[in-house]
Amino acid sequence: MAKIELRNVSKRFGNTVVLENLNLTIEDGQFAVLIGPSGCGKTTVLRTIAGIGPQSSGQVLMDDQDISDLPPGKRDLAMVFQNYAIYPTMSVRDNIEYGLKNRKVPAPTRNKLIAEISEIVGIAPYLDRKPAQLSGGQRQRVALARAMVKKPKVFLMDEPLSNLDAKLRSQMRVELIELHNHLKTTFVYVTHDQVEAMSMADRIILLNNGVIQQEANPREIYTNPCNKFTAQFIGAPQMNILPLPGSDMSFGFRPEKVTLTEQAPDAFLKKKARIITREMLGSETLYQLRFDKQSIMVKSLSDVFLPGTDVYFSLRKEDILLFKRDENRLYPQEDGYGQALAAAGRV
Amino acid sequence: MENRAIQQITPLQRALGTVFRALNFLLKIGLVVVFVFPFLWMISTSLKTYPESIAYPPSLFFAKPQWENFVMVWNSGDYLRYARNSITVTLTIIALQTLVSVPAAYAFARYKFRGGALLFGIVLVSFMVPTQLTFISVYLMFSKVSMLKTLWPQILPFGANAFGIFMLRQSFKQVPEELIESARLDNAGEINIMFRIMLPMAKSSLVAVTMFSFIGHWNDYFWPFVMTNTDFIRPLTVAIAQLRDSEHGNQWQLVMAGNVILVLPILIVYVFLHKKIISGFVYSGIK
Repeated sequence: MAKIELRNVSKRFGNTVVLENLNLTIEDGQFAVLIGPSGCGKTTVLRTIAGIGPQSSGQVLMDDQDISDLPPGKRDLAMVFQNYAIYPTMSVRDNIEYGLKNRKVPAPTRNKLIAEISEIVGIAPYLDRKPAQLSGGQRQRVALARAMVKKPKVFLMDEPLSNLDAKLRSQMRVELIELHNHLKTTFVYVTHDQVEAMSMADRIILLNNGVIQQEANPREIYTNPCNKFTAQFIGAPQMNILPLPGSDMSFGFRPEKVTLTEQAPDAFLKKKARIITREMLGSETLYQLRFDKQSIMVKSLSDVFLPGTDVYFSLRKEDILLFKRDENRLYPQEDGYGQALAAAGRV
Repeated sequence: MENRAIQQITPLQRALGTVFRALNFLLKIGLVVVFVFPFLWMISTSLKTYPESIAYPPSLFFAKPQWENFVMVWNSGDYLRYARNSITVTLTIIALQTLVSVPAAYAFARYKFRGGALLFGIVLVSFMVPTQLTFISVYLMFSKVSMLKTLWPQILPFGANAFGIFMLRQSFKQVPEELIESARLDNAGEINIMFRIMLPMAKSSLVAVTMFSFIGHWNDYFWPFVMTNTDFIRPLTVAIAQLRDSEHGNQWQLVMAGNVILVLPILIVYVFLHKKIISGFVYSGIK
């Protein structure tokens, strides 16, 4: 168990700056998810913590101790790689045992640990197999077991579920949450999949171009994004963002906050629009609407509206988020909020 | 996709396909004959009498196998010593080469260091220089340090194997980076990573390189011939070549019996390892 802290960490590959003066604290026992589009630096952050891709400058601290110069093997952390990185020439048992042997853990302790961990992750029957004889899900478990057996203070995971099929992925998601609750260790998890981030994280750290856009719990990041990027990155379909009439600001709303009606309703914002497409998702239906050369996505529980027909869409005042010219949120307590909101209502 | 391809085959294409397969088969048979015939000829001659071996027209067969040819060859000189020399030289070369090639290949494959590309270029160039160009200066060098009466002139010049370094480097390069990073996180040092993680993954290449080197040095005639002045340090190849110019004319049946003795160890090793050798060459071509 440990707190991880990055102080002014920069990383350059040749002339490319990936991270610049990044500051980040991950609290002890937290399930922290680093998320962002490809190339945003999330894997670089993870590798910096692991020590396998050392920072160009800055410090990495674990429990307030500077570990910047410690080699990866001495950092008391374990990593699960995207492609699992299981040693193909070793049996499952040897894979799990390798790290322990290198730490000179005595054989009876090793055997006890291997028996215990392989039971927890459910690979006990496969200990003598070679990795090539295992399925993707089983390999994933071997990689997990290899990390767990070291009883590290911090688990680092680099998109560990992205090579699994959809069904197995949702199953492993639940198992990882249970594992975290059981171990109460710090987890740092990298993904580009917002479903994984939303479902597992205590804290989401959203990165773009090496800069932290927002750090918050999933609920906060979804309902209260601090800028346009966060608002549009989290949530599917993404948040609708429209220009605010008569200004250089914009306003946004989630597709599921829109109400569709055939008759003009009495609402804060209402507008007539044409339905362009309809996608049935089962419990919900997605509509694409067009009005005044703009288009928005609507997620509705009703599937009665047909493409080509006109409908009214409406929004409540509290479901509208305002964004300033610099793409940051305009919060209710700030100057000009009321005026801007009123402008949104007149769209 | 497959169905459509089947429908489009015309009778002409089918006939061409049959002809092609037949040609293919004949070509393979031809290759087998070209490679196997000299071998059979050697074995059959080694079991002939002297008149049979020089008979005209020649025959592949003998009336009665003359096993005593082998005994005669073995007793015609100190063959135990020649065999021991061959074994010592070849095994020492293999051991030295492995000791040098594995770390060198690992460094070339995994580290970026100043002059690395240039050094690797020099290794490749040395692989292309024929020994016939260098043997005189090497001979003089060993003469200066008075080592000509030892086995070292046959061993030391081959202590590093450029081809082996190249092959191993290629297979080390194919090992995914994450495996090494994972091993580092498992608290493994460089030597540990090299021997426990990398080398097992390059096993096929290592076996192939070793086999190639073994056959090459076991069968080498030119180098030991120019580097040795006394029977005391000569290997089997040079000794067997001497059977040919003994005073009673060419006793081909004895020369061939000597050759059979020479290739026997290689055959035995190959029988045990041929799957590994072939896969070493196949896998190095595929990513």
